[in-house]
Amino acid sequence: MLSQLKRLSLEVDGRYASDAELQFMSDYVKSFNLRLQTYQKLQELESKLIEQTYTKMRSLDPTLFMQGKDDFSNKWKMDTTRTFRYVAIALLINDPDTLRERLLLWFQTILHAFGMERAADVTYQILQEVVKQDLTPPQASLVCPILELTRRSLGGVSA
Amino acid sequence: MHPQIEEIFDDAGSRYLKIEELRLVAQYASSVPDRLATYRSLRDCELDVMQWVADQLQAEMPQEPEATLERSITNALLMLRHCGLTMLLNQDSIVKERFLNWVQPTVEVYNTQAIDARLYQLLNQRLDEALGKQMILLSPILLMAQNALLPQKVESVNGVAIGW
Amino acid sequence: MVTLINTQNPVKLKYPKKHDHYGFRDFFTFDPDKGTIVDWNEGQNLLTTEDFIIGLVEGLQEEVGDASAATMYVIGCEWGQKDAFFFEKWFEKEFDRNMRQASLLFLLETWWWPFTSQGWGRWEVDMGDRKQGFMFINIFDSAVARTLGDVGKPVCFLYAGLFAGFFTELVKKQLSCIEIQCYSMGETYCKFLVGGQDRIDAASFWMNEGANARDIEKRLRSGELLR
Repeated sequence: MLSQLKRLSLEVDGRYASDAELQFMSDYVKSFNLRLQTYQKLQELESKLIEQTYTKMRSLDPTLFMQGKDDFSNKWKMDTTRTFRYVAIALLINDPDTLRERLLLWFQTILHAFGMERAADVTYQILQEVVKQDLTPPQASLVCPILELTRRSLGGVSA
Repeated sequence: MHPQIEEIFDDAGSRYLKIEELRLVAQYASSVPDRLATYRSLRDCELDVMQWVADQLQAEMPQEPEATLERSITNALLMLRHCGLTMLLNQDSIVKERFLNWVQPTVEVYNTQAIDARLYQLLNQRLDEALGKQMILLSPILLMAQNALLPQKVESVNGVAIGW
Repeated sequence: MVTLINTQNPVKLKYPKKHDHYGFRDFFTFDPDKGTIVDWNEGQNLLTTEDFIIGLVEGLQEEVGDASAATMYVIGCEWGQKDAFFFEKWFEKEFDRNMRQASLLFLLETWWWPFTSQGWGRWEVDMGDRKQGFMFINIFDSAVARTLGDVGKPVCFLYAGLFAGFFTELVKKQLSCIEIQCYSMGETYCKFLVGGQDRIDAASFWMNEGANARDIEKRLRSGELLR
């Protein structure tokens, strides 16, 4: 919503916005309570969801957390927690664009530099599965697209 | 949105929002329907309002050259639009940085204060009639902008001086 | 030890170690009163349009004719060299370690990010042939090429010089750079070869003979060189 507001304010400079251009604002208001609810749920369940994801990934392929002889599970937990919180904010104010511009575009290159794209791909795949178990379908339908965007950006699927 | 909401992503990775911050977001979200309604009303009545104001002004000041009146009316039109957007987005920087910053010096240069003062009186009066209760969101911003451009305070329709 | 941070950037003031700071409004601080645009690393910036790039290229062309390419390359080299020193300082400040202690790919991505934020384009580094003494860099959305459009010849001399200057400082060995594929020749992205002069000369010769980027990559990797 923030980036949509910024874009709107630039595009309608000196004139008025049409109803079509204003539609996203009404849409946001309609979805707000669900977003707030989901945001607070994510905050509550954060450690559980990340722990569950970690366990699933470990059982799937423990080498996902290895680079040579180094185990970067702790780094993974920190990075995933950080990204998860960004995702939560993006969900609250409906702003995947800002999530992309301020985190994902940069973070993807760093993960690429360390060869961690596959781990990221799996992480955000599994996180979506795990989230669906603990959130209601309407709540999950808000989070999962943003998690999928994160997976595609960080997992090296799209540029 | 509230400036604090603008900063919402600054520390996004380290924490969740505090209750007060969530409240700010909720406040803005709940104010959006009223803001949208006011904005649409303003947009839809602008032509009639400005036309009336222009006609009045011309009738009252026949001695002023048309180009001079046109400049003031054009500025007032821009002011109205910037104030509308400022109100919609709840972002004062829009009217300040994109309008007042550059119009302020021109008012002095072209010496249009007297015309502008009367123009704003007419404008505010007509807007009050057109928008009624919806003026509550627009008024403070509009008066702030008008007062920034005039040396004396602008009075609202019922004669009470409102500054910012 | 308290490190005094001298910055006007509101985000940096609050979160000086925030590494994810390359969004437009994070990276740049606009001061309309002073008329300055200062970036996260306290560098001064200018906003220019494509007219600036066109003016630069065409103006130079008018002044020195065919020497304009070489001139832009040399400008790039000086820029790259100076930037290496600038980069070393801000990298150390941000990551609390010497740049030579960092993982190379991470170091390079970090070096290039300000350029991306500034609009020079996104890149991809291919260090696969590093041990053989050369490397490739892809640039997507080169500001110069995109501005000039399809003109039938490579135009990113500034970039080539930048890479040559920077990498020479980084590895402390004389390196040159040549653009072997360009958006301005109808390609979808620009490709650069960085390496010793002999490699660059070879690539240049092959290009004149009509070789494309893939040919050049193949020949270099198979150890071919000019005699």
